Parts: sequence; C-alpha cells; structure tokens
Amino acid sequence: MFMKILPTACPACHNQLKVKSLICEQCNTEIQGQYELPPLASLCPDDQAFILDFMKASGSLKEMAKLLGLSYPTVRNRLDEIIEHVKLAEKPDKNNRKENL
Amino acid sequence: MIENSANPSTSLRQYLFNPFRTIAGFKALLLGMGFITTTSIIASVGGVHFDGVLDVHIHKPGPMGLFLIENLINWLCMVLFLFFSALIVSRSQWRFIDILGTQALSRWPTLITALVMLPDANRRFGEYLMSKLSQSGTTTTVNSTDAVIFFIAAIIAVLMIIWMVALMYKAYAVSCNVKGAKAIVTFIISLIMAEVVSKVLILTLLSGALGTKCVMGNLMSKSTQVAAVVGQFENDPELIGAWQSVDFVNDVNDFKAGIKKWQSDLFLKELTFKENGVTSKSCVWTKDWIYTGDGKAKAQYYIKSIDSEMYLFLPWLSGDVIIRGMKPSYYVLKKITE
Repeated sequence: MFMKILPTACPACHNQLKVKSLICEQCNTEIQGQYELPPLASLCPDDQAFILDFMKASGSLKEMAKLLGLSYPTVRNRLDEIIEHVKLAEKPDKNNRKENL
Repeated sequence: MIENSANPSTSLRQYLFNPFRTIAGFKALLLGMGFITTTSIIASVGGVHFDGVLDVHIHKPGPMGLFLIENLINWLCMVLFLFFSALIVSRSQWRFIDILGTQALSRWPTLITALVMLPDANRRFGEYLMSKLSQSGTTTTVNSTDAVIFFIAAIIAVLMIIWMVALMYKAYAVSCNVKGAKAIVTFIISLIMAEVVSKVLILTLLSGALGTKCVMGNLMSKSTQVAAVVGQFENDPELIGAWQSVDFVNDVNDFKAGIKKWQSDLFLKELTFKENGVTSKSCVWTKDWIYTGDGKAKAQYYIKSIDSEMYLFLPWLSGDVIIRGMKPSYYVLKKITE
C-alpha cells in the first residue's frame, strides 16, 4: 500500500511545519488548531526508521550493527546525530512552554 | 532502515578509505593484528624497519621479534595519544576497543610498503646513496635497474604512508565521533607526539634490550651481524674500551714496550670494542676471538699487562690470512679508556 510521507519542513522556506488540523476517519470530526509536531515526527523518514529498528532491537547498538551490516561506531554515530537533531527540535518547544508559563 | 551503498564504486572507495564504516572493534583488531604480524615477517626478511609511526628505513634483515616490536610500538603510541584526544574532545560514548582495532587495521598499507621494499636492489641502492652522502668511500656496486626499482619503491612507500595517515584519521573520526577542525587539529597533534614518542621508545627500549646505545641502523645491523657471525656471544670485560695502535709485529713475543718495530705509518690508528661483540670497525668479537665482519675468518687475540699498561695483540686478518691461510701479524694496541 502506498504510504504518503509526512512533510516536516516547509518546501518554500524550510521552516518547521506545524499541525493545523486533525480528523477522525470514522465520524469526520475535525479539530482545528496549531500544534507542534512531536520531536520524533520531525525526523526524516530514514531517521524514523532507524529509531524504530533501534527500538525493535531492544536498544542494542550491537544488534543494530548486525542488522544494518555496519560497524558499532558507525551506528552509534548515527544515533548521536539523531539525538542532536531531536534536542534541537525540542528547544523551540521548551522555549514556547516557558513563554506560556 | 538505512542500507549500505549499492553503488560498486562507492563501496570500493569506502573499503579503501573508510573500511571502518563496516569494520571496527574486535573484528578490526583481529584483522589489524594479522596485518601487523604479516608485515613484520616480510619486513624481517627484507630488513624493512618501521622505526617510527611514519618512518620506513631499510637496514639488514634481523630477528622477526624486533620488527614486530617496532610495529607494535608504532600502533600503540598512536592509540595512546588518540585515546587522550578523544577523552578531551569527544562527546560521544566511544569505546577503547574501537580505537585499538581501527588503528591496527589502518596500518595495513605498511604491508604493501614491506613488500615493495623487499627486493635486494632497494638495499643496494640505499647503501650506495648512504655511502655517497657520508663519503665513507665504501664501494657499493649498483646498476640502473637498482635505481629504477629503488625510486619506484620509494614513491609507493610515500603513497602508502599518505594512505595510512588518511586511514588513521578516518579511524579516529569514526571511532570517537569527532568532526571538523577539532578532529583535524587533535589528530595532527596526536600524530606528531606519537611519532616522537615511538621513535624515542624504539631507540631506547631496543638499544636497552641489546645492551648498546648506538643508533637504530647500527644497532640492528651490528647486533644481528654479531649473532650471525659469532653465534653464542661470550663477554670479555678486559677487552671493552678504546685502544690505540702503538706497533705492528709478526709475532706476539716480538713486541717490546717503548720500542716501535714498525717504522711506517700504522694503518689502524684506534679501535673501540663495545658490548655485545660490536667494534668501531666492521670486525666483530667474542671472548678470545676476533672475526671479520662477514664471518669468513677468525683469529685469537691476546691481552697482556706490561709495565702496568694493558696491551692488546690484535691479529690482522688480511687477504694473506683469509685467502692463503697464512699466520697473521699483530697490531699492538694500548688501552686508553675503559
């Protein structure tokens, strides 16, 4: 089945996109608003797949290295990059929360 | 899911310049140790010394253990300094086994260096160049083929060192997850320090092990030569020291202290006997015996105390003695320093 990829950045200015509307497929109830994407959803599809595989491998980098046919430090470096990315994505959210308080 | 690159050219480039993307840790350590051992065996046959992290020199062949120690010192020095660099600059959860393994594997181009340096033409031409530079007057015969082989081997050796450094850098960057200027600067500092320390260690440790303080080249060639010529070395503390020629006599009993029988200039002016059978000339020794450098001839020396002075009667192993089997004449040398 064809699965559409969730866009996370604006194609025009590359700014992070936000969620404006959510819909229930069963009763067609639609919620409008402005919601932040969760940090994991802001990752690119490859990184999301990596995190999913990492979770399936019980968080074992050694298992991941075997699974992907890569060396342990290469897998760990990839995870480090994703962690950095998530931390950056979390920053504006934290700032917003502080402002709200 | 991330996948390995399917592009064959990318894969080849990756295997040549960044094999650590797929090989690290214990696997890299095993492979690296295999390369280091094989390199040491080949190097011991051809006399190719890796006497420093970035050094390669040709001397005489010697025991494989010495070549293995050199390679191990080079590898571990680099590991040590990169370990400290990683402690300072890396923010990742790196493992020591990755530095150890990938640095061992990154030394594999030395195997190619040892192989291209193997032909005897390299040593012949190297000795010829050294004799020209030092103007020692040693006659080493070389031909144009030797020169061509030497220059091709030298170019390949330089390329292999550059390749090895590129691999060592990549190994460091991958193992410790360091990038950019921080990685380059810490790597260069580590490389320079490892080069200095490995050089000093190889000189001091190996010279200490063999009981001599001469430089690496002499150390390797002379000690190996002594072992090859005299077999089991037996020390003679009376002989060790510097001696000065005072006369040249046909027989030991012909010498009279204070009366010089030989009227011409003495060809041999001075001779120093060092520990482990080495001398300041090409000849080698063990207790009671002096040998030509190639081990083809030997004769007995005598030490006598005359008027509270020590005199050495050194058999002169000339062509008449070596080829025609004549009885040797003796240089008489007086001990000047212990």
